[in-house]
Amino acid sequence: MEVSTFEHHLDSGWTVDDFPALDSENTLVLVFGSREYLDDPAPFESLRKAYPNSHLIGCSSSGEIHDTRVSDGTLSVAVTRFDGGRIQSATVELDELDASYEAGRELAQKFEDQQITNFFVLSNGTNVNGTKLVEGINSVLDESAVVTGGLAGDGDRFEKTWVLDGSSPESNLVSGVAFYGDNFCISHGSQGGWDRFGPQRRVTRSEGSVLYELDGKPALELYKRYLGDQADGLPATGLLFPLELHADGDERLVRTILAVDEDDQSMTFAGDIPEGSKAQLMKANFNRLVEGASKAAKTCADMHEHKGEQALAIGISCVGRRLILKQRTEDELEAVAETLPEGSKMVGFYSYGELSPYVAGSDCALHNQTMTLTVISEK
Amino acid sequence: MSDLHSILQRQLRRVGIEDPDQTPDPEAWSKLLERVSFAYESADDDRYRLERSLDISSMEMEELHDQLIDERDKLHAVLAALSDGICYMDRNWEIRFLNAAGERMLDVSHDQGTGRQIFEFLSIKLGHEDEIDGPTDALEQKLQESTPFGFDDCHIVNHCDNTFPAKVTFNPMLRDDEVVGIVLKITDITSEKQAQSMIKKAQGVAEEAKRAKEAQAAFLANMSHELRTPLNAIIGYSELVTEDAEILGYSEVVPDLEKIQLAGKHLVSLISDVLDMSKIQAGKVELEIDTFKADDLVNDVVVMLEPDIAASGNELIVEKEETLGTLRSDRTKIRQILSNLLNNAGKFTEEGTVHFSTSTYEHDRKTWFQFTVRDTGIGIPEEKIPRLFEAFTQEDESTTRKYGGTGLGLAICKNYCEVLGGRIEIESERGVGTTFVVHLPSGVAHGSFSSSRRDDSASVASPRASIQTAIADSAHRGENVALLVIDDEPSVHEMITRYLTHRSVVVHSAMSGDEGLQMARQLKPDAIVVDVLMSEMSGWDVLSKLKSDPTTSSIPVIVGSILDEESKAFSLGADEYLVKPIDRESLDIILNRYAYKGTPRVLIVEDDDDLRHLLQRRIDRTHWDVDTAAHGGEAHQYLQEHRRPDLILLDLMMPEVDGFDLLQILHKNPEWQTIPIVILTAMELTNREKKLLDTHVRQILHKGSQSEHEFLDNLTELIDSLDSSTSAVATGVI
Repeated sequence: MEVSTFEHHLDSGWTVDDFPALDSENTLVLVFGSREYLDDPAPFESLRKAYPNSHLIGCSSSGEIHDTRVSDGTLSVAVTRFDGGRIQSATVELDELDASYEAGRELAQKFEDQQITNFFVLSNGTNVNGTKLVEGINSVLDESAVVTGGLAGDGDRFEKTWVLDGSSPESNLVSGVAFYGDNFCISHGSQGGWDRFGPQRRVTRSEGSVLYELDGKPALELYKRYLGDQADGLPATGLLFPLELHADGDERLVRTILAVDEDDQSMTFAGDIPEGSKAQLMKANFNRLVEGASKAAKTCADMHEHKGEQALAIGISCVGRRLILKQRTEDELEAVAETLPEGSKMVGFYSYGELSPYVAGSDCALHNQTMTLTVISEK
Repeated sequence: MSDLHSILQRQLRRVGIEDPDQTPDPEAWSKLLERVSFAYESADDDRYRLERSLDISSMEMEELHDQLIDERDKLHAVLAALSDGICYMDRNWEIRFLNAAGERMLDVSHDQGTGRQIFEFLSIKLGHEDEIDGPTDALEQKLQESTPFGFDDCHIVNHCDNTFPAKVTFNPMLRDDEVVGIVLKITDITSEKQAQSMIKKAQGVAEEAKRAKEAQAAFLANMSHELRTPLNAIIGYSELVTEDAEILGYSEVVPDLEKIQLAGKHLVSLISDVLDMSKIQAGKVELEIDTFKADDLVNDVVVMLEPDIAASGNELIVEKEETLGTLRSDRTKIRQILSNLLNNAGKFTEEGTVHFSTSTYEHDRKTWFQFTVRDTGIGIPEEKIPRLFEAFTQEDESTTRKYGGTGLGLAICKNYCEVLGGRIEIESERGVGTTFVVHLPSGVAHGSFSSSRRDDSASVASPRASIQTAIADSAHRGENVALLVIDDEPSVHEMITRYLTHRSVVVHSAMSGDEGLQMARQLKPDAIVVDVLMSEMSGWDVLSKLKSDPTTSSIPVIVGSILDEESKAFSLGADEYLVKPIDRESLDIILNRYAYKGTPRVLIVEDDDDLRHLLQRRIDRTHWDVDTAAHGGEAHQYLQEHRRPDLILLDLMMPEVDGFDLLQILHKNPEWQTIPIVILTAMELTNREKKLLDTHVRQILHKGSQSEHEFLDNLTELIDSLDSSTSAVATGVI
């Protein structure tokens, strides 16, 4: 395999004079960029022209990860030509929140259900119930397929995201890439670094991913109380206090805010908030988050048996982390880079949700507020 | 460099300073300072946010804590208010919580008890031997079943040796299917136990009351016996004295003496009423069911009551359907009901009319009899009517004084009507008159009333069945049945002949006992019908002679009587039955009936000296010889030492050997068993006693109280069944 990474800046154009000549049927062109490219799709056309046979997928971000740097107003591109393994990509539309499960199924059904080693998914980030989407995908794919991916971001605006369909960015898409065969060596890791604090609450009123009440009181009120003067920054500032959920007997999941509705005092989260489950606010500081990212990379490195010369590392980290880390964001990327398998080249994005198995071997689930890593290499 | 903070290390690297010991170039230095400063600012932000979160969550936690305390206090208040003792223990049976009731029960405070094993403070007594005073294996095993268990009826003995009855429950507390604690609930059931014993006592009192009621009934029955005995003497002696006065010419005292007799007889009827009422109140009304013609009953009552009604200048108008048909009911009780109503009508009407009408109607697929007694007497005010049928009620006390009576009559009537499955209704208007209407079903259904009854079917049906068999057996041998009828009443022969001519029966007639015996020996008829009441020789005597002669002993004999009275006595198996007080006429009739040519001899067995002497004096005036015995034992001795008497007048209730015993003795001796016996009793016999009597004198079967029609109907029925037969039975009774 061969990996080459480069960037495009809104103001200064491509960082390479010539696109690396890696076009093939088994070449993956990953593109993560800022929301603005929705109105300026010319760079995608260029990539399409340069890689006519390749699988071109990508989505908008809340910060483009390129190596250990995070930027806004750029495209972070990784072109990977696989030599032994076969890949396939597809895209489906998702217009309504309630159709998330069906979209997941529809997408997964577009692939041959044979020996999918990894299934990498990118979804629009504002109009999706990530939990249902993943359930839909899981319901079709074989258990042995490892599903990772993320929900597109839109800075801290939560307005409009895009996902690439070929060379055109659209706001209502879900796309996926399947990696077939055991020639691929795939590892993944996902860690948060958040800590629960304060009283445990119960979800007393919710519908799907919309939360109304905790312990009989409006959830939005609670968030505003904790946010104080930062409440003006909702929904973005809500990310400072993710919500940890656990229903009886289930694993603990972290949920992050996508939208608030002042009229009915509701908050929409990136995944299901089942009524009756227990909820607790979470907090984090710089150190804990960086430590979390490092752990995710460590998990990935430990899992990655094949130590080839090159590897594609896709980092998907939650926008909530970036809000806390701010200018120190790159510190988490450095911590990851220090720990990843040797020869890894990292691209990625700050997202509205991460998809990954909770632990290795379990079904994929939607996560929030994590650093989720997928490392792909060939034997 | 490795000693530096990792953030600083990365910041140095970012600005290109590889070696922190070297002085950096100014540009790198400036970049570094910028980064470090920003890191500080961010750290400040972080700290601010976290501290603020900590504050808020502390407040929230405090609120929650207060809520919890509040909840806990409420819970404790509830637990404290519980009358049950609640003790929460950990897995080692050590007390972790004890509520107020528990503290009282165990005589230990929550603080003192906490951390100590429950069994230091109590043991559970299950029985005399069984006691739980520690965490036994059995308890542990029960605990593992994870379901509540306990003891409903045990005693708690606390460490101060205070004991109380209790119900205890152990509730295992589970966490992840693991028993982590036990909640013990102790309910003090002292008051429950007290209540139980109160109930028991109350039940005892109720039983006592029932026994008292029964005792009262028995007392009344005995009292009536005790009262009647001296009354017998009064009535009897006043009769004697009246006779003497007439003979000796003191006619001016005769009316006074007759008043004494009348008063005595009235007293006897009052006692009867009281006795009947006491039976009703004790629920001991017994029924004697048989089948009889309603016309006869009506006629009887009319004949009996007409003189009384006429005595007040009243006219009795009797209306009835031409043929009323038969009733299957208690004849005596219906007679009593109707007599009472007619008697009342006569009593409360002067110079007026008493209507007595009887009719039948169909209702609910049954035939009902309606007896109406309407008078033109003083009437009853409307407000008094509702209580009219209650015992001891008359219209007012002045009524009692003026008209006499116990006030029991209507209560008895009402009860008897109900017991017989019917009802009584009244309409009355002051000054206009009163109408009583009695509705009775033609047949008394089993179970239609609650009072105890004897099973009459056995004693009535079985002799009849045996006669049927007997005659059938006779008929089997020839085409024509030869029937010998022995009766001194020519009309009886006529009737029987007329009824049987169309059948293959040849009727032979004998007009006296002697003639009958002679004809029996010559004709050897298939069956013999003997009237029990013949002037010369009684039916019983004929029977005994027939049975003692080998040539006639195998002929079935039907002892019958067309006479209506003394039915009870006959059904008892006794020959006669005299109800005390014994008036002269009844006694004379009895004596005449059993009188033989020459000097017949009667043995009086009676423990009451007065009555014995009275009877003796009376019989002394006849041609009978009289001997007496004061009780059964004496009578037995007399029989052993003397010639067989021709008649025994026997009291039933006597000390030592009573009448029943003597009957048994008589029954066992072949010579004595044919002695006619007349039962003397003032006491109402119970059905059990009657049955006993029946068994004792079983060889003399008799069914009395039949009208001519019934007698003949029964006979016809018997003849009709001649072609079915089994074994021969020597004697039968219709």
